[in-house]
Amino acid sequence: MFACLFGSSPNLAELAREFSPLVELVTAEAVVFSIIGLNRLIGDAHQIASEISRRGAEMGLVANLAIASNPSAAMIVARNITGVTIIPAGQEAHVLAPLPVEALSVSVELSLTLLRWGIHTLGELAELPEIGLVERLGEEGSRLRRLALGQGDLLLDIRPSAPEYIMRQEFDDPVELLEPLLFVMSAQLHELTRKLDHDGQSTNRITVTLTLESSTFQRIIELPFPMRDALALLKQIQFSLEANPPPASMIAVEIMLNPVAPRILQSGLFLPAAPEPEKLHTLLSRLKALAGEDRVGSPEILNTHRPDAYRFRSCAFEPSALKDSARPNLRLAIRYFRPPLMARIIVHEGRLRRLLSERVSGDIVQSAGPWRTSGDWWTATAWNRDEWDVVLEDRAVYRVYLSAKQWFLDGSYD
Amino acid sequence: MYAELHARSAFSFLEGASLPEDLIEECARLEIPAIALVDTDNVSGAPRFYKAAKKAGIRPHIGAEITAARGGRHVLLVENRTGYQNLCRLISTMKLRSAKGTAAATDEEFRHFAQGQICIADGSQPVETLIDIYSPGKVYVELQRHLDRTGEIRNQQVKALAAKWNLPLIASNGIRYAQASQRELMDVLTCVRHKTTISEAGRLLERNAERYLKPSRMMQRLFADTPGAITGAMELSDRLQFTLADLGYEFPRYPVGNGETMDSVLRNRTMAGALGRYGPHHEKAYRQIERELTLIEKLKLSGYFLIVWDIAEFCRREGILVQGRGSAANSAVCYSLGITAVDPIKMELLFERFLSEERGEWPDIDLDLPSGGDRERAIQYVYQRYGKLGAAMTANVISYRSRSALRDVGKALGFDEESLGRISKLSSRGGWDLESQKSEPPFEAAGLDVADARVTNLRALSRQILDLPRHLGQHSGGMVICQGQLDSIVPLEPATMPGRVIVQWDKEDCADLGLIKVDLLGLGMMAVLRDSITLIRDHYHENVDLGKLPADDPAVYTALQGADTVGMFQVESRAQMSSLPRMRPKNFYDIVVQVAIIRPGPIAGNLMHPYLRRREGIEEPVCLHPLLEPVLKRTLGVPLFQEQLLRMAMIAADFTGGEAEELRRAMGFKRSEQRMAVIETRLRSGMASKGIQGETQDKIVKAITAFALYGFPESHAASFALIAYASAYLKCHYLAAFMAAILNNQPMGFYSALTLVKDAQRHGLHFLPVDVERSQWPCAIEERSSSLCVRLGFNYVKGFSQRSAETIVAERAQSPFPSIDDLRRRVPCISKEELKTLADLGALNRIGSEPRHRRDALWQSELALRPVSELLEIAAPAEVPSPLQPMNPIERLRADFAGSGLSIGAHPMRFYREQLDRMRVTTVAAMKHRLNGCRISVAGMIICRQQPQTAKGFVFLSLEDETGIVNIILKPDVFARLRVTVVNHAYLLVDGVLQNQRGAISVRAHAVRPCPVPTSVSVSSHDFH
Repeated sequence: MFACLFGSSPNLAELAREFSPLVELVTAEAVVFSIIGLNRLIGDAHQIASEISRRGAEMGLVANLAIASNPSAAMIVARNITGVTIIPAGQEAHVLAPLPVEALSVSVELSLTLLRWGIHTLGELAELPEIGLVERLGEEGSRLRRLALGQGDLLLDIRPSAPEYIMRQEFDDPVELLEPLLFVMSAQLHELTRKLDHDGQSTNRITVTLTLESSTFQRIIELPFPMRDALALLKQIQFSLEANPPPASMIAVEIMLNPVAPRILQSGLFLPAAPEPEKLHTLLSRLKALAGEDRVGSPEILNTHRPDAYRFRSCAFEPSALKDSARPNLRLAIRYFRPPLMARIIVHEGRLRRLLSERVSGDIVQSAGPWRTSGDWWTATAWNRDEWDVVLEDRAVYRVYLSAKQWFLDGSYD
Repeated sequence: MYAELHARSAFSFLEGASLPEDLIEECARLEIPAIALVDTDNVSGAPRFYKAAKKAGIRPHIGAEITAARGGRHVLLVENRTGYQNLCRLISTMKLRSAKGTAAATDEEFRHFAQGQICIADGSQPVETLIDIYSPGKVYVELQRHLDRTGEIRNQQVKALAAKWNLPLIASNGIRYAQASQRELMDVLTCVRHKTTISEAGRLLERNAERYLKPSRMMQRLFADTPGAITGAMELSDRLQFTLADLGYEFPRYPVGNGETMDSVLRNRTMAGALGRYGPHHEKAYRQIERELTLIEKLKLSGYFLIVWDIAEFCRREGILVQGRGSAANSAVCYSLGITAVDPIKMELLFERFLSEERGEWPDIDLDLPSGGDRERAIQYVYQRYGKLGAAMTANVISYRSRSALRDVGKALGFDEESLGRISKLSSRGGWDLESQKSEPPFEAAGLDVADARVTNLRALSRQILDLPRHLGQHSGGMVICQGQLDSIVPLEPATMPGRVIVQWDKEDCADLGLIKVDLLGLGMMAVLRDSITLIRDHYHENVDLGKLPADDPAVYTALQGADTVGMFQVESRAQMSSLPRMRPKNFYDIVVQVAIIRPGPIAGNLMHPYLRRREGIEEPVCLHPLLEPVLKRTLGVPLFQEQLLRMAMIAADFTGGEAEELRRAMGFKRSEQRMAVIETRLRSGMASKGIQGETQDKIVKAITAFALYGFPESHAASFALIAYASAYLKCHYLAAFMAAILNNQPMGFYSALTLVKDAQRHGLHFLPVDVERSQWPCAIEERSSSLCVRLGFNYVKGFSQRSAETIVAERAQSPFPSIDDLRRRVPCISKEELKTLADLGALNRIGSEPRHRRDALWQSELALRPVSELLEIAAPAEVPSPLQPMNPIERLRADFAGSGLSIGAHPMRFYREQLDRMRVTTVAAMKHRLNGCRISVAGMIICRQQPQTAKGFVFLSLEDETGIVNIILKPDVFARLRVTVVNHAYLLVDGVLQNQRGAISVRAHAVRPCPVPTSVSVSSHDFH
């Protein structure tokens, strides 16, 4: 005999395993398991169903339960009949007959063919001649008919559950400082990475859950590539917690590592030497903790006319081929003042005469402009500004601009 | 002063944001004396640009930016007529040999067509090459200043080049839009062109908003360091002498024999035709013909008439039905030549509406042909006769309308497809129009926040983009013909349809520039008439001559008076049907009135109701003035036709025919206050001299002014009425032939095939289902127990290929199919789905010795479709009876709708009649016997939903049940309340009040509910057209 649990509760497999070691996780919502032999421990099918229901209720699960002589029939019934259904041996076809053809999860094409034939229920399907079905629909026709008759011959596909890499440590007294916490976490990480190493796995995500006195605090650290070096992982956790410390004392810590296949890398012989990726990542994490997440990385010019528009993107760690260092376009370089400096410009007869600012002041002997840009008119951050390049008496060249009736000193040319 | 010599308009298709007229208007405002339109690879905007400039007193220069095969573009300006002709030929050459969107000219082509053109070097092409192609005196160097550093670097480089090669400099602003505020629209167009969104377009967008028309003062300040560039532009402008007035167009000459002239040939042919039409003694007709011929000769139009006659003759030779429509039907010459079928003498039509000396325009002759292959043959004849470069179809400029505007702008602004789809769906179903400033797009209903800035931008930019050209399409039938090479008058380009060439100007532009055109229009009903005549000959064994139909057939008028007009040309629509019982046509002229009166114009102009009231005897037919009685008597004192307006002016104010036509145009849609004032003064003084004064004079002026907007040409109505009468006659007397023909020419007309079939069944016609042993590709006629029935053809099997159908017909001619397996083997091209659909429709039921049911056929088909080895292929398995149950009637109905979109069985409502009877829901047929004003419930399939702009928010539905069709009227508040139900459900149950106005039955709805009929058995309705 076989039982099937069908529902959206998460712990169906756990419940099934309480009754049988032979459990198949068919989908996230369906579990089939063997109950052969339970009659000697619990009783007949009704008593077994009652016991499974009782235990399920204790676990807070909501699911349909079906017991049948084969896994297929149990599965079809559990999927389509609400509550507990026990199918006595030999009655499968009778119980299945009123169910719609869709209960068999047939392909769209086949379903349309059956609809054209006027076959709506499993009972109608079961009544079709087997040879006629095989001639028209092939082996699939025969299989569907057998399923409709409750004669499924499905074997359970039993697999061990995936290993989990979680360690939890409860403290005797609340911990307030990071140092003792990291000490505990170091031991946990060594144990977890040893387990990863044993299973031939690495991790790409660390989930740290700290149980506080009245709440929980969680940090999820995504790693740019799979790692399993305990010290490197500990550093990542340290920088993350330093940047975002827990708001209260901790009474427990749990670390969960997400297992993934390790990284396999063959560096090129002629590539320049680069730091170890783990070390580089640790360094960057430290810099981010110091400077801020969005202020570390490779600068990237944005695709816009907006002046000085750039952002930092995460550094690429993969070594790349040497770039051609030839520079086809020699241009005047500008050094931006970030943020731009407020300035005053004295304008006389339409010409820019004098620049006054906190850092640079002087008479303007030559100017070019205005150079006008405007854009992002569809956003709240629309801009519109007129720039001038000005030469002061000392021959130094600066860029100034006027935006919203205010002058700014934008930068100086090399 | 400064001349802007480099302006793109919206005719650069997504590369410019202003219409040519807007550029001219801005030039006029800024006092810019000259401007050059330089669109990319086309001169499509040139006629409108020229027309607007001429009116504003601005010098319009023509040019184009031509894509170069080696990259970049050549900016060309036309110096003289040779230059213009070369530009047109250059564009034609490169377009006609390239796929759409890939045209580019080679250096050799630029060189070949260089004469008469000035090239503007903007730095994107090597100056040496340009000098080599165009010669040194024809190359100018252009400076543009958009307050951009990169641009300034380029300016310095081109200045150096100009100095090196001693080339003159000109300043321009590289115009993309008339005003700076249109830069946002330009950015949106850029996104549409690059298929991206505004937030992702980045540097594709404008750097700033400087590419607008700037006043001379500002340009002089911008180029203060190079004043020669400003004067250079003016000097170049002076050098460009060409305008479109100097087009050099000549209509082709009709070839005549020795000793003959085109005038003499036309006269001879007309007189020969007149003898057949009028006989030898019709003095009035010959007097009119003489008058017309004299004018035609004077205006040198004989060639034109002969060419149109030649096309009509070709059609007659080839057995293609042809009939002239429009104002040509006012001409006795056209009638005598056989171009038109309406006798203008008998109908007392006014020739001046067609042609007058004063108007100075070409006459307009439109020919109606059967749509499809026959029309294509006529078009190909014109190409063949005048050469590929001598004739072309006119373009149709596809401009942004409400829905396309919202869709493109919405996509560019980053709105998701789902929201835009919702707006589009809501707008298509119920009377919203972006063009009307009063109405608001249904943003809220589509789930958008109207306070959101993005929605504000969407609304504003969608309004701005309206009317901007999107791309060039092909006009439905307008052809331009030219003496010599048309490609030197206007560029030609390939149309999407193979074998077709179009000019870059639309129909109006061609007319404005004096290019003569012939409209060869496809009319579905002409094809129905043609096919009906053939079927009548083959099955009724009668030869029908449409020119000799009995004039006053009682059956036709009974059908018209009873609004029994489904399928009849022009009188079948919901609005026509609701007015026919009031109008009760009794003779041909009534049909002419009926065709003309149910139009938005006469309804909006409040002409329809006074006429109908007078016809019903509710109102006295009073005439505005006794003098006008001869003109208005036929229409009971209400002016209905444009010809009447002309005659009113001629009689009351002594206008000549030409002056009267000028009056109609001045008062028409494109009204000009100034022109109207002048003509009104002339009208009033004319009336005063005839003693029409005071209130009567005011009334006549008011009537003419109001009516000019809405009147319909009587000649056009008469031409259509002829076809309407013919279609009614064939339907009344040869129903089987008419139905087979109309089913074979779907989609056309107002109703779906299902409605046509149900209507014919109510008239006693029997239909036979698709049958592989009997059906042809088209629907055909079969004789069954001495009556004629229509057999549905394979063309009504969804997804069925004509090749499969023809193979079936050929195979069964050899021998019948003994089994489905045999059919499958002998017709190997038949697909799995095709065979299953045939089985589903019952088309395989008669295969073999014993009749079978549809499911049995499906069971056997499935077996026949199994793949088998070659060895077993020949051994046909014996058919075993299927274990499947036959379909019940509702299942058959569903299968019919799914497989063919219609059913020849019972109407879907028939299956629910008992249930509806219990609910006291009446049938449409039974409503005739109910009293006006009683409360009533009716249920059925909605075959049409309409909200006419003239109906002040009222919505009309046509509801069909198994007994007929009825009109449902929803008041604006009722529609607003029930909108979702009304637009989303195919079957409705309506509670309301019965209105019976002299046999015109309708229901004024109070409540509308979904009717319990499965939606899988419905057809698409004619909604909000």
